[in-house]
Amino acid sequence: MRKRGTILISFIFILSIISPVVYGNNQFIEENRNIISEKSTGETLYVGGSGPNNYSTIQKAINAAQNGDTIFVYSDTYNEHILINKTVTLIGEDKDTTIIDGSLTDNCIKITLDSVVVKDFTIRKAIIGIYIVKSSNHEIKNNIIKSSWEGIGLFQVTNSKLSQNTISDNYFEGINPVESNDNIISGNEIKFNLYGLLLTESSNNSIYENEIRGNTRGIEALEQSYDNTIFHNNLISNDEDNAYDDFSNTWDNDYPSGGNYWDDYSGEDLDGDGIGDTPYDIPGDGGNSDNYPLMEPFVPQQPPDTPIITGSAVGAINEELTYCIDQVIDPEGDDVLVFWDWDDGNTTDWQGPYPSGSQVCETHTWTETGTYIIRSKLKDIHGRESGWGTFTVTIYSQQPPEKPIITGPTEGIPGKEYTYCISEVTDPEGDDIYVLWDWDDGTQTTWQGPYPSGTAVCETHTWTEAGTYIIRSKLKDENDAESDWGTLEVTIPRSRTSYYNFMTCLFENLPNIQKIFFKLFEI
Amino acid sequence: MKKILAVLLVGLLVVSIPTVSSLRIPKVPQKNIQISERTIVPADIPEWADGNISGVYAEKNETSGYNILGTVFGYYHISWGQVGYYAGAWQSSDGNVTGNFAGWFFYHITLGEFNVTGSNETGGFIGLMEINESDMTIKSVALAYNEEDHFIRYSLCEYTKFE
Repeated sequence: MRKRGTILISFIFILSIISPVVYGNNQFIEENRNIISEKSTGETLYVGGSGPNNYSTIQKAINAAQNGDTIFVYSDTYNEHILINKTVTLIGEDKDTTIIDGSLTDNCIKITLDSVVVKDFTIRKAIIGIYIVKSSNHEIKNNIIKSSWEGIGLFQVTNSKLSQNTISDNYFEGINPVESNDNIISGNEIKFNLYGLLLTESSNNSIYENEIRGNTRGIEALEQSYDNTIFHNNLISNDEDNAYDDFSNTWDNDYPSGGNYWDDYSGEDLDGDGIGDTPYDIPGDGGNSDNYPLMEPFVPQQPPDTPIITGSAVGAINEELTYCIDQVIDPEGDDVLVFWDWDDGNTTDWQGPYPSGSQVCETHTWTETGTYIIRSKLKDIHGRESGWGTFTVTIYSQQPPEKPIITGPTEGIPGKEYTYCISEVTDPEGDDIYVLWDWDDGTQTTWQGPYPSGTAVCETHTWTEAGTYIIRSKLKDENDAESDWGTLEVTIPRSRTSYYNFMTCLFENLPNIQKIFFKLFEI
Repeated sequence: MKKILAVLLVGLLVVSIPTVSSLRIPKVPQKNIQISERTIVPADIPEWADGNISGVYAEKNETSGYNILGTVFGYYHISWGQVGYYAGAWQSSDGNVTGNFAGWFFYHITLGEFNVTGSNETGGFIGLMEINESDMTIKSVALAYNEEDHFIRYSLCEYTKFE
């Protein structure tokens, strides 16, 4: 008997393991879909995988796509040379397992039109991994690009961002901007190439927070490359030089932000501010120096946390409403600035700075009815920005009813009826009021009423299963102006009834388990 | 110590530049390099050669990124460590234009000269190179120049050590 019990427990344990795994996979896919929905307003086309209408090659999907579409590529190896001549977002399922192999016969991806996103791929054995020509506003992010002649090539490219890529073991350059200006190259790991980064006739690019390691030469500014800003990079073990510059470029970000980390810097830091007391001279004829060399490798700053906005979800035109971020948080504890977008054409400037951990509130008045998505984001003193926090508010022509306060028992048992009340349903204009109840067990009432403003309203409900439920209730007046949700948490502890309900449900869905169960217990 | 040695070697190189173009680099006479339609085949192996190199040279352009312009073949001599010299011949992909080249290498820096067969055109080059002993390859990016112009050339070669 004891043995059978052990087997049963083991079986249920295995089931409990399987369930989160399945959920985890779904969650992963959902996260990717969230990325897609952030980036694109068009359709999503799928490559690989098992979907009946999925494309077999990435190029076929691009050929079928419209500007603004997203192409999602499932994990596999694709032996392709891809031409992107449309504004699309190309996303791999997993950068380690979604591979584009160029067989060293041509470029893997060539981009010729503006605003293309490429992220989450391994790109290997290309002539050039990603070659972007005469276009702007691209984002190349979180890819592995290796074993090619060149990692990323830019020719007359502007206002694009190359970030979080690992670019390694390429024959010539890791990244080579040619006649390319005003780009951001940030957060990349560039290692074991002939040149880590070779700037050719390229100016006004921002190059920061890259790990440039083990190349023959780390960075070189060649052929009339001016006014590039290069800071917070770690330049380590580059065989010939960490950097070389015959022209005029900026190699630090002033004090106290600092310059770059150079593993061959021999200066001292007597004042202990983390910045060397003497400049690091950049080899070459440009006469450039990093005036504030870092004494330790730069650790990338994390952006502030995405803010969580609280406040009233409803209001009336010309009513001043207050919205708060309960805590503005920067992981490094830096002060933060706050930006608000009210979705009616009005925004604030960057406000602050506020100490990390403090509460920040702002008021706004809308002058027209409608539903608005308030957005807020944070920026730390290093310029790193958080994601957008959002909050939806509906503005009516007049004041909606006040948010209801629900009273009633907060504990109970399955199968028993309980009564919950709103002690006073109130509309500022004295309109009659309708009430909606949501019991958090998949059931809710219809709009009930009307009730005169100022009266008490009660409703009963019975939960059949154990659990913790959040009762919600909201009011609306005769003009359909709706209140905020009022809430009350109720705990219904497990009982024998709920146990039997669970077992019944289990047996209904998995009849084989019922047979095993009956056999084990000789029922 | 490595850096100091490199600086000394570069200094030595700079001092020796006038002689590189005349005496110090072993010239590879035209008669010793026969140019076939597709590849360069050596007729005689120079006595100083420790091995040979063969590969391609390329430019970068808007259309394709890298555009292979032709092939190279030559011999190298190691003086010590990764310091030595080389000489050889080049040929355009269509076989219509050929020439010779010779140069020094000091660890990752290479410096040399080239000419064009049948014309008075000569030029020089200086660049960065990497010798990979695991796959026996040499990669180089060099700024080449003549009297009228300058341009960047890429070279990807394999090398073979003589026994």
